[in-house]
Amino acid sequence: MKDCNKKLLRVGKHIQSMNSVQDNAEELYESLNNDLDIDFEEVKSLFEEFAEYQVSGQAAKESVAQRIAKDYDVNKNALLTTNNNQSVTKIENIDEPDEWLSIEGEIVELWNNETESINQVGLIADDTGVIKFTRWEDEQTDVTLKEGETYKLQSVVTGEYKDNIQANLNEAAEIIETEVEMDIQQRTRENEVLTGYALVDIYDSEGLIKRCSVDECTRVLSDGDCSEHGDVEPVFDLRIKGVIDDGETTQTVVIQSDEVDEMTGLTIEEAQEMAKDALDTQVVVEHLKQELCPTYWRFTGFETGRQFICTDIERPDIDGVRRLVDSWTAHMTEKYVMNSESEDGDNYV
Amino acid sequence: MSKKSREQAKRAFIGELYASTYEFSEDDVNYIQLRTGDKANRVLITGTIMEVDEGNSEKPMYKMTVTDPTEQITVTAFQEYSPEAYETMHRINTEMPSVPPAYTVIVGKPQIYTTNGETRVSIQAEQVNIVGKEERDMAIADIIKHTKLRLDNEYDSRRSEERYQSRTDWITKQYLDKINEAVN
Repeated sequence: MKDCNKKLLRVGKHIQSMNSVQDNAEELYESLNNDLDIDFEEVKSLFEEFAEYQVSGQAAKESVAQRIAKDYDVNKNALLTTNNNQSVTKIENIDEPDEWLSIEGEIVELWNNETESINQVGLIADDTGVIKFTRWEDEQTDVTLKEGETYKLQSVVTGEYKDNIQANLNEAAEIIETEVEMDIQQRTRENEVLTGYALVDIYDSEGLIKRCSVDECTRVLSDGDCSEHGDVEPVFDLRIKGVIDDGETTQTVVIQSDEVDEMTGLTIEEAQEMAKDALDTQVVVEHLKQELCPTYWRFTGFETGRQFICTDIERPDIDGVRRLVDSWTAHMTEKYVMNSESEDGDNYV
Repeated sequence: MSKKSREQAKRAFIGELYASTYEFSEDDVNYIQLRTGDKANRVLITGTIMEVDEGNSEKPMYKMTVTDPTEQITVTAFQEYSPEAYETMHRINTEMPSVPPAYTVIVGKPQIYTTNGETRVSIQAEQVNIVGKEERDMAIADIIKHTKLRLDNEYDSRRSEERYQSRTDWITKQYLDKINEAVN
């Protein structure tokens, strides 16, 4: 049964990658200058070629554009800046890696940066949120992003680093100075404490996960493949991504291995042992669900996109909680028990 | 990019759920009308597990009785629909001779059914956790907090008043005293 599901999954993935070849090829083809003597099949076959090597998504688009630019002696930027008129995405809605979008907002922080390939790095905010951006070396040498100024960053691509979504400005990106007045979200990186939340579910793909081992990549592997580096040696990690719920709102939470250990006493090594014995990594997430869903915690961390990244976890203050029960039952007894008895006559008309 | 957001687990005492027998749908989502005023598609409850049995059904399932100081409710788990809760109940039944009794915190979907002409509420469990007293007390505190918030919300009370004669008749002094005793 499981084998059958796996097979279906693989077929599904194959169809998905076929679709993405078609979509990517169409998107890029439509953006090509009419003067360029190239037909659609040629563009598509280039995408297929890269797909053979498990290169898909944004990485494939970049590589195909590079090839076409070289073969036809045109500027690659011109090929890729297809989304000039694309609408601006609000920062709070940015929650997936490898998305291609535009952001408009104010540079709220610029950070020191000693990496040679990085031009500028910092935080950009709009009226819905804050996101980290990295501007790689590019050709727009006349533009320098300044703190406190507003810009439209066109054709940026989202990436994931240590579970945080960030915006990357590579060669294809375009920076436009704007003068938009907006009520920006100052910072969300400060520690926020969530109380009254219970962890109610953990996603099945979580628990013992595999990350890419290439340099600082850390991307989570899917079917053993990194979306950027393909087939790589995996590094095991223990992570919970799940749902927390306080009775009024639900939120996605990301909890790293140290905190998972604190919650359950399970280390990465033990989780690996557990998976080895069962010949299945799924046992780890099942174990975590059994131990933790639902339980109450005091979550410290920060919000990014729609996720709450947990940096510290504690048990709630049980003595404080018990004192509150006392005062709340007293309140309810006074207000609702007594009154409902004396007003019984009114209620039952 | 917008996803339909997950329904929150409304914190409720078994006493309130037991008395909340009116159900309705809104935008293809099923809710029960809570006595205190709010609606619930999903609930979080706590109590003591009193009984666990394999249910009488063609599909593999477990049935559990959970009580709090004055009321009890049936909690079900079909292997097909909630495999995790089913697995937990199966473990209780086969590997944990000292349970029941045990404290539990449960998240699940309330369901209305009729038996012998009476309308009843049961919970289709999604997650069942066997917990210690401290975790149980935390859940009680959280349930009291939300029950009080719902009662104090006059706007929501109207929806309850359309369906039930009283939104507070399930609360008695004895009930509240027992809850307070349990925690302190």
